[in-house]
Amino acid sequence: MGNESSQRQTAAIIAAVTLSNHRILSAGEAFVLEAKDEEEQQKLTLEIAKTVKGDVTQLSNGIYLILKS
Amino acid sequence: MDGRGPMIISTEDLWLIIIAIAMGTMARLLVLKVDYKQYPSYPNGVLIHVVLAFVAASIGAVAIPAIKSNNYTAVTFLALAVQNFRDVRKTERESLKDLEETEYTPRGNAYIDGIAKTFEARNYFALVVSLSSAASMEIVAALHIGMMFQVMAGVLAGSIVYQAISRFSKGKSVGDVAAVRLAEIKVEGCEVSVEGTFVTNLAGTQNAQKMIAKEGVAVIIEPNQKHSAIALHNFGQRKAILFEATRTLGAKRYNFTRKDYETGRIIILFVPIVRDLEKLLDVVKNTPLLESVKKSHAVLRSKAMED
Repeated sequence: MGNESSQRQTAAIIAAVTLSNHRILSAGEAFVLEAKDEEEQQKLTLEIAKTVKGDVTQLSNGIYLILKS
Repeated sequence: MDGRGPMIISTEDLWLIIIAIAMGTMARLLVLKVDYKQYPSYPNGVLIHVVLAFVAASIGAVAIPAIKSNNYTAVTFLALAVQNFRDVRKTERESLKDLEETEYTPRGNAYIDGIAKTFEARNYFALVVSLSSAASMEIVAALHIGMMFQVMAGVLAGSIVYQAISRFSKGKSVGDVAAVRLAEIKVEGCEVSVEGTFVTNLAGTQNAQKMIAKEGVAVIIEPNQKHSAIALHNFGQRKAILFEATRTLGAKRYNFTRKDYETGRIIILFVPIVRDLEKLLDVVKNTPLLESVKKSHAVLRSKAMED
């Protein structure tokens, strides 16, 4: 096991873009917003990612996360 | 009095000092090459190191005439020089650390430490070369051999010492301990992998996926021997490799280093500004193996056998 803590490659979740079928129980410090369809979801994700210069990942259930390292 | 003041230095000593200073400064100039690492590439940086080398060479050059004139305290100058060179290391380290935030990817503390140490050591080059050059000229002078031979002896001794020290201080590079080759990048949804090894899942947008698939470059570094992986897997070493690669080709976006625990290989992936694959391979191969991560396998083995 390397000295991972000193390597600082962790990222913080800035925002999550969901759809109406997703249930968010707790978001912590992340900003959560709901899009009306997939097209809007992608658009919003890109807009937030560009604004905060963050990276994007998509979970297998369709939620987009915007991360900043 | 002829108005020129008393004679305080003989012509022989003057020649000795000039030749020794020239040899010492030249030794430093020869190792101050702007190579693939392109450091120091700034004219002012080069000037600073040349002047420092001149000072170091001067200290080495005057030490012998000083001792000859029964001025033994002059040797303390050498201690002063050592202190000065340590300051060079400190200044170099601080200066590189200040630049960290403006580079494409940070050099990392391990690489900075290595560069700073090298700069300190190279001032000793100038000092030792000029000292040995002066000593050999003095020995030849003591044998009552002509001035021409004294100069030749100084130049020869300086060259031999320079060759010996530069060979001793020459470190290995990544290409010496590992095979470096280009690799294919695979983008599946937001997941990016290189030859089956997961690299990132941060390619969530179509823009990112297109950019990585079309413009991204990946290099696989496979250690030649199993123990070489110890040095290559070191975070500082990987940062140094990524730094050299991104500084040479630029970095548009995204840069990752990953280690494959099963095979022991290292993966470097980034999106360069200039896509020059030959240069990329060269720069990765030529990245120095950091002194702080190098381990002597022979020592480890003998120790293990004793236990």
